[in-house]
Amino acid sequence: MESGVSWSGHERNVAWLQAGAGRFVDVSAITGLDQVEDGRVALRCDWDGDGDLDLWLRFRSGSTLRYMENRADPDRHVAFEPGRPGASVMVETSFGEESTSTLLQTRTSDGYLAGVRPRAVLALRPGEEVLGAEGLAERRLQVVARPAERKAPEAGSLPAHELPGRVVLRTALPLPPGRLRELGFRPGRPQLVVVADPECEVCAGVLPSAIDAIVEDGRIALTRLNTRNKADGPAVRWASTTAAHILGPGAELDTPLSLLIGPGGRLQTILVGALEWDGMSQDLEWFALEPVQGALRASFDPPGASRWFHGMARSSAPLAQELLEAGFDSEAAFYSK
Amino acid sequence: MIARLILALAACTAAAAAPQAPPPDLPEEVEAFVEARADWLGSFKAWAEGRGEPPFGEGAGFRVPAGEPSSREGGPVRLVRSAGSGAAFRGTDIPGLRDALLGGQGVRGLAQVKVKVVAAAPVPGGFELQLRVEAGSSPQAPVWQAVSRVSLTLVRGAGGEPAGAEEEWVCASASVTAWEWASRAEELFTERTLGVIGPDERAARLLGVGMDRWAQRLDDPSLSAWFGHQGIAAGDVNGDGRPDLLVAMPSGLPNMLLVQQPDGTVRDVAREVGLAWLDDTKGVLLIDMDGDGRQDAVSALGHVIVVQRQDERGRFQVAGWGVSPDEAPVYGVSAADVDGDGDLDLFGARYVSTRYADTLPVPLEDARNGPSNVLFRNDRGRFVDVTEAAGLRAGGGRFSLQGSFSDFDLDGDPDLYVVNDFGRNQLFVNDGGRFADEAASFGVEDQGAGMGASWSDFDRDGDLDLYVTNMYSSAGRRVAFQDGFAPERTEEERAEIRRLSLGNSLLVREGTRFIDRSEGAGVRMGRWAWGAVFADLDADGFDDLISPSGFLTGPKPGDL
Repeated sequence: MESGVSWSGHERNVAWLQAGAGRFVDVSAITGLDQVEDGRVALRCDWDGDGDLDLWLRFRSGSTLRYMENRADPDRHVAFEPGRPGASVMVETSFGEESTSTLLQTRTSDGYLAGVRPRAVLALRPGEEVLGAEGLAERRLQVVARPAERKAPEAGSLPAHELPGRVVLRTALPLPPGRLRELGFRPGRPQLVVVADPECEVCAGVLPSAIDAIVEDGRIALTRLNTRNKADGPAVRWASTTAAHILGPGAELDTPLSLLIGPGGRLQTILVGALEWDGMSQDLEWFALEPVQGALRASFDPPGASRWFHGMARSSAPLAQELLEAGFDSEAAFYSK
Repeated sequence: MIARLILALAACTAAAAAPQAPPPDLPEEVEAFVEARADWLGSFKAWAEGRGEPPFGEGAGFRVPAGEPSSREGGPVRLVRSAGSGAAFRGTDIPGLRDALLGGQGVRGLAQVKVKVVAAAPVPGGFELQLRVEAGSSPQAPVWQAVSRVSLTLVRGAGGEPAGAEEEWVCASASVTAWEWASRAEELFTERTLGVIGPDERAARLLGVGMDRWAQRLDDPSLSAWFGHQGIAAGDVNGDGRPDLLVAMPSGLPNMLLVQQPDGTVRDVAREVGLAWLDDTKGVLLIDMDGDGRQDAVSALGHVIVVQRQDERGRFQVAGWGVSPDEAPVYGVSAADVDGDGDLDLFGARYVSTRYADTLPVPLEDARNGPSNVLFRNDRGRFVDVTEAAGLRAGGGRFSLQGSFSDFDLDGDPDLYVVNDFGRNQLFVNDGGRFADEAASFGVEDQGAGMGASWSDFDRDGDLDLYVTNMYSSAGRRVAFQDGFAPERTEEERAEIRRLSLGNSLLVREGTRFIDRSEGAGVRMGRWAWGAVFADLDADGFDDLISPSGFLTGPKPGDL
């Protein structure tokens, strides 16, 4: 899996229709419900109010949420909405000479990780009539006719969005004093370490203007490392191995590679690829220059309105220990404190 | 392709021994058997797709059973399945055999025909194959699909006589044992995610990225994004008659509340109303917890279930929480009035200690060393852990993923079905707020790799039936179904391990017990499935099934 191979991956969702006599027929492909992404959750609800059950599907891979509008549109359906979960009703219907007792029940969850409305529906076949609700106390059900059609939203799935190559560490990682000295770090001022290859297109084309903006802003100290410069070799290796370890298997490391170190000497953010001044200044204000925000765990969300329930950051000791054990730094005395 | 065929064919169950030529048993024997016939299989698939000559010997005989149309006629989808008895034809008509395998003459004229061997078993003299066919004017929108099971006898040489090893395999006979066809006259589902979510660019950006990408960019040692266990909940939060959607997100991404607008689009208002938690969130609910007519929010944030009451201004205020006894996170949450006092209590299923791989289930087929589940009694908004007192700690920690309340015995109180990975599920029957596990006596233990469950009176006979999502793993079946598998274990233990990769279960209430009707109903193979649910997909009044599937898809095409 670490090499990118799947574990029971590329498996399509499956859908079956009842074919009568307790038998079902696979209709996954012809209904378009056979998405190949890693499915997790199916939630049924009458989202558009036309009496049939639409589906919200949750996935691990690809677009992680999909809405599938049901086009079956029954002429009439029974809606049972007693306002609370755990209520039951037995619906008696007639269809030709056949009479049927169907048990409807309301609940709050279904399948896996799907929270559902405490509402049950039963589509009525053409000619099927409701005789009544028998046997149980709950009688709050209605026969609902199909509403007038409303304009349907545009069809299609969400476009895949590219993410910036930016990882904000949830816990800022303290760097060894020796390493900070080598990088020319001065306490009290955030520092950006930029590793660039003079032959890479981004380094030559886009990076200079971003660096100009940083220099002009003046709040960040800048250290530039050249992959072709022998003297920079140890620092380049440290930067790339540290980033690779933190980002984990499968991470796409490339130049330019930049590390944002906070004023206290802690690694805050890793940026892969072209520097984006907007994101950089956000990180600067959010983590590096504001100590209270900096103590909070990081996220992909602008600061302010979102929040953590479980509060302050955990200790960074396990991550530091992990790096140490992996041989990425040798100042054991620093980390063992 | 040949390698995939070999893999598929190796995923077989050994058939009963034949006197003259026992089927292969050990994995290497199976592989050699398949390898020797791989060219024939390739020719067979090409012929079925209309791209090659028929790989049959002269005078090869075929048998195809008759069909019976579905009792549900007239909808947007037409269904036909083979009948239990009777033959459509016997004879030597090769085009007739192709029609039968592909789904009748209706498939003719469709430009794109795709045939896949989805399962195969070596049997004396040949194979039993399960074929899956999809056909349409374009591969993206098939209008026809068929599944058939066929037994084939293979011999060497065109004449059907045993001959030298250099001669090619040909088929001497083919017997279709079962088939089903489905075709659509109209589109049953249309995806409208783009139109519904797209206008909210920020929500679309957060949801349009797979969890693998997020996992690389969020500093989350628990890998909450990578495994993708984040739920969704529907409810009408603003009382406008239109349902809205609460979307759980992994650690570092804000939860979202997608409120449906009059034009059918949504707008994420989670930050405005106080629901945009950044903690890893798994199960979520939108329900009226305090009986004031407004929907409240319940979120499983790590090991704490947080209840947020919606105030009159539409903001969600933290009103209470239930704290698990340790930091093992809560996965599925559900609510019911278990003690009959008029308010809703909360159940949380818990799976592993803190991280996915921290706890090893022991024994694999019946593990009881996982974290305990939790039941929080609602005492006027204060949530008290009553798991032990309610009898829900019985049987140890079972690696639970979801609990589903249902009054299946119609005695007026909610009972609880708990789905457990690595072992037996539990059916806790409620008696005045005290639960007792009666899964064995009702026949619903369904020992396996359980992920989720759905209740419905799908057959409309007046009682509730159960569909349990389990794992179906070709790799697991390939290994565990060999006769030589785990000789140090008892036959009973081997049978229990085999169930771990068996697939989904349809448990039908018949009298006082539930009977497993999965095979006859044809709903076993849901692949590596998670949250399958009953849903009346074609609005004919009878619930159908949808089963989300797939575990971890990597960027490379290979699979373990």
